Amino acid sequence: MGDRRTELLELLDRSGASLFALLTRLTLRQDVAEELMQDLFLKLSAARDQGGIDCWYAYARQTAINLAFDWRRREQIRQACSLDESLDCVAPINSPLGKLIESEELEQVLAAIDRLRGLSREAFVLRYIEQESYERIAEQLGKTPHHVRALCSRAMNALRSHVLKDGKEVQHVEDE
Amino acid sequence: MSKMNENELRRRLDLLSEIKPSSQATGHTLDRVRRTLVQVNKQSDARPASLWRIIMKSRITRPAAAAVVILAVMLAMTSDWLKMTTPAFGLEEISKAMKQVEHGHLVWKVEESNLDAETAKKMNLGERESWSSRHPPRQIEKRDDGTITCTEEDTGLVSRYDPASHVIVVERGTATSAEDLQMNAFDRFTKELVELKQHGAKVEYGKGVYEGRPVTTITVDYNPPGRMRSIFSLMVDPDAYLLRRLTLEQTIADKGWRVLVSAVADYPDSGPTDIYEAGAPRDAKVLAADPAIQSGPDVQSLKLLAQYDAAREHLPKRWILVAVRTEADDTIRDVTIVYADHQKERWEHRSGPSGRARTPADAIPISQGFKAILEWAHSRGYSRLVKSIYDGKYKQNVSYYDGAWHVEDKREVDPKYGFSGEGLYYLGWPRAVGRIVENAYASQRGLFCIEILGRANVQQGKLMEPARRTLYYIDPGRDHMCVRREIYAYDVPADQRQAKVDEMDFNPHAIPSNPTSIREVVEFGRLEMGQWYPSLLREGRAIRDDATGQWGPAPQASSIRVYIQTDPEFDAGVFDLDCPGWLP
Repeated sequence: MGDRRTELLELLDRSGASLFALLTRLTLRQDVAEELMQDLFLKLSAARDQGGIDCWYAYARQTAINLAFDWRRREQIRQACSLDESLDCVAPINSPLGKLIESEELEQVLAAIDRLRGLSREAFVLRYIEQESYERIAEQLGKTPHHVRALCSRAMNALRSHVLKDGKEVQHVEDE
Repeated sequence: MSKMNENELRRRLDLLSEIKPSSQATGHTLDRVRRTLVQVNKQSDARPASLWRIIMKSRITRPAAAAVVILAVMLAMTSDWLKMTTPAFGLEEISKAMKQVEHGHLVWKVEESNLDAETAKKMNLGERESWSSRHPPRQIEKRDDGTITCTEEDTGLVSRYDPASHVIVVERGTATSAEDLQMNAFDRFTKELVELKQHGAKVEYGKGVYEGRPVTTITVDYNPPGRMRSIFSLMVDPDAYLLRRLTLEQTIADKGWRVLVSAVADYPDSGPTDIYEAGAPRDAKVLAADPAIQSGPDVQSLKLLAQYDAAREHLPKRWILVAVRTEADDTIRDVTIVYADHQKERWEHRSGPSGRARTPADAIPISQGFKAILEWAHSRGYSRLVKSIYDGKYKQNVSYYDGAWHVEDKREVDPKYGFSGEGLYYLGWPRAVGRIVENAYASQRGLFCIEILGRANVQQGKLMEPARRTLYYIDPGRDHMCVRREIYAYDVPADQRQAKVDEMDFNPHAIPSNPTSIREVVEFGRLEMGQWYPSLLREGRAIRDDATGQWGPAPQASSIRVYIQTDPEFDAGVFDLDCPGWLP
């Protein structure tokens, strides 16, 4: 068994469930999250060495967040169903999450988060959706807790002032 | 975009954070990724990764699912479908013949190119057997890994035998009428055919030979340029008018990839009609799961949350709260004190002291007014203390435990997140959304009942988490406050955590019929502006008798008394981080 595969299997055992949950939260669809999990680990298997399981986890979360928001953008311009997708419709998904999709507000919040950029978006997701401590996020991002707090604070301000008040565009919050 | 206030944003983020995929989906997904990782390592030297992506994303179970659907259609053909799809083929006779079939038996397998036998087995490829019976209406599937599923369509019962845990789990789903079943299968297959035709698929009818006997063939060939080609082929006995063989071949020519689903049908005089007749061992442990377990909020409960928010919008901005928690013997366990002045907050929690006789609750000077209660709360001894001040910009936590003080650094905090979450705003809301259900308790009292159900989480035969049901009763007459919470879930005994399911002395798939924990508001208070709040809550938790393994009723185990004063005169420096006496 190769080292890379060993590391990724260990990552899957330790953190696969939480990564899948993260993808589900960001896409609001279990079926999409399942596909993105495949993509995620295929990407990881082709990625450069991360230097240890903890580093793999941090990298995996970053990649998962990017995949989820990439999917959200693609979804907006999705073309007609392919044959694969029409066959997929044979087994209609009637999960409780399907009802949640009806909640336009959650979609709006996610769309707004999508407009954040880079580290700001990642820090915001980890803090407010994954509810991690600033210290833990700082460890994963290689920043200081103070820096992470600042990133999250600015991201929250952007959402609050530009989305929640007047419903217009969210200003892009760039990384420092 | 709709306008929403900051509270709603925070709560919607909380909602997002509370979303959890089902344990079933999680297990399935992790298994699938695991298989990918195993295989990608083997394949990486032979092929480019992109090809493997194509293969893994092709979801090889789809053609298998299609094969099952086709069999179901053939067993439940309607003359309307036959007329619409193949008017020249004379399939009226086939329709009649299929309706006479009492038992259908299908042996089918999925083969995929470039996979070794071990990987194919891990991916649940290989052979499967399916049986269908008309009287009683049953669908049984047996995989070559030993998993057996039996669906009783008339009762809705689904039994699943898992050889890894040697357990049969019986779930009660929704019973399906024969007519509905036929219509569903009809709709599905017709939809596929129509879509394929719309995309340019060719449908041909002809004659052929199968096992030395003439057959009538139906072939659907879908070959979009530059994409995967799919060919369905059905062979029908021209004398008996019954389906004999079915194949589905999918290929990506330039990638050298091919998957073949082949199925052979026969129609014996008898067949299995329950899971044991299909091969499940009689000594397997049988566990009954509760019906229709699902999780996740619906829109209606989100609306309730919005109504609660609306009722809380005009709460006072200046107040002091004292909450006293008492044990079943009415002695005091801990005290919480909260001061709030707009964006400033001071919070303090005192518990203990342990090892000494606790103070009885009647020591609270209720008759002397709020000021006396507050002074009494501050004068209480403690074995553990946690306190914080948020001055509107900076927050600092200080705690005492294990005989020593621990002081955190001051940190800048957004005003929205400076609060402890135990203030007036949060009193009374369960901070959970789910599915609105009706029951006698709710209807008799004019309450909404929010239900959240969760399946037992079993991974590789081991229990991770038992099934759980939580009911929240929301009172629309009291600001949509939660007035009662019931939890139905067995606590897993410490010695059985992560034990094999078949070794446990209780059924983790079952939800107790009686609540194992009840928390309810038994007295209400009302602020000057009219908002309701819970002034006395009681909570009870069922205790398991280790000797009998039975859980008793949920007796009262603790109470929380809440005292509030609005628009108070604050002592100087109460929100000041530099105030003398703040730090130890």
